[in-house]
Amino acid sequence: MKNQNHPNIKIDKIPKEGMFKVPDGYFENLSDRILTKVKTLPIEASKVRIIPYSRRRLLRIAATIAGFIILSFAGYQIFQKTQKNDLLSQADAYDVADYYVSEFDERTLMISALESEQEAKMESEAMINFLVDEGIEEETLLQAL
Amino acid sequence: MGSGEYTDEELLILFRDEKQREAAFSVLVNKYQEQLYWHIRKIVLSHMDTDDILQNVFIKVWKNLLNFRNDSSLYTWLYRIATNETISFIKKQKKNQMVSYDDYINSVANNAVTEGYFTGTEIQNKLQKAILTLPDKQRIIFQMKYFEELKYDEMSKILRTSVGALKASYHHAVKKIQIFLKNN
Repeated sequence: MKNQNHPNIKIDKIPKEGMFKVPDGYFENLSDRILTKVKTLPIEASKVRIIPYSRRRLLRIAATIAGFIILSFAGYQIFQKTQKNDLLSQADAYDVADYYVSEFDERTLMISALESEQEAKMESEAMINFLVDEGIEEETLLQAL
Repeated sequence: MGSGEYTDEELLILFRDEKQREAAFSVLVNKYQEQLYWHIRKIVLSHMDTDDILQNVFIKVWKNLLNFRNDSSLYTWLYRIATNETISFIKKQKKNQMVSYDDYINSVANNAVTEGYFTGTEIQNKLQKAILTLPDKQRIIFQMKYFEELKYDEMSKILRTSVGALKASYHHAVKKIQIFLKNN
């Protein structure tokens, strides 16, 4: 490497060429190497859109915020119902509890919980796909939220 | 098939024909390999890393070319894939190295030199270190404008960023590099 003094050097004075080398014959056999690799790979014929990394991340954030709002609203509704239930007499509450225990076993409740989780995941994916398909900009969505 | 004999549209038509697919893809690789190689190389500096990223880029192209819609030119689409792959690589590299930012910059710059494929002068090496200090996107914008001399319009299509934002980003990058060169 050559030694140089460079006080206050302007970048446009720095030579742009001659910095990098490639191994001899690199470009001559690159396509053969790549072709050997890809020959065995399947081709994705489905309608896939490549979303840039930056957009993908923002869409995930937007979908998460939208999901959070939906869950908060649902939570608020459940809370309101619970508040109403508190107004029931103690005896009524026991009757209701007995009814639910007799109606649903543990297995049913677990299946229901797993299904809800699965649905939440699918909704998040569906939201992302919808935003991409409709061409809705994530900035617009975030502002609206 | 020679790469100069076919337009992008013709290559896409040939690629859709299963019998001609491999030949068409080979032409496409030959046509764009050098442009994409230098685009990636000037960002990651190391030849080995560039080779890995470039192969991944062409694997993605192979898998997705049938889905390519003419929303943009093939050249823009390929550049976009290459840029995204490079950004992903840089992020992974930073995450895996688990060292301070200064050590990261020195290790990337030194790797490029020790590989034996960097033959720059001291000031060129210092410029590369200065570029490494930039945030990822600014680093790519600087590289595309300064080294590849792309027009802002083209960069805007590839990076999906407004021309105004690109100009501002490039201006800030130049300032930061000037300061780095002055202070180091």
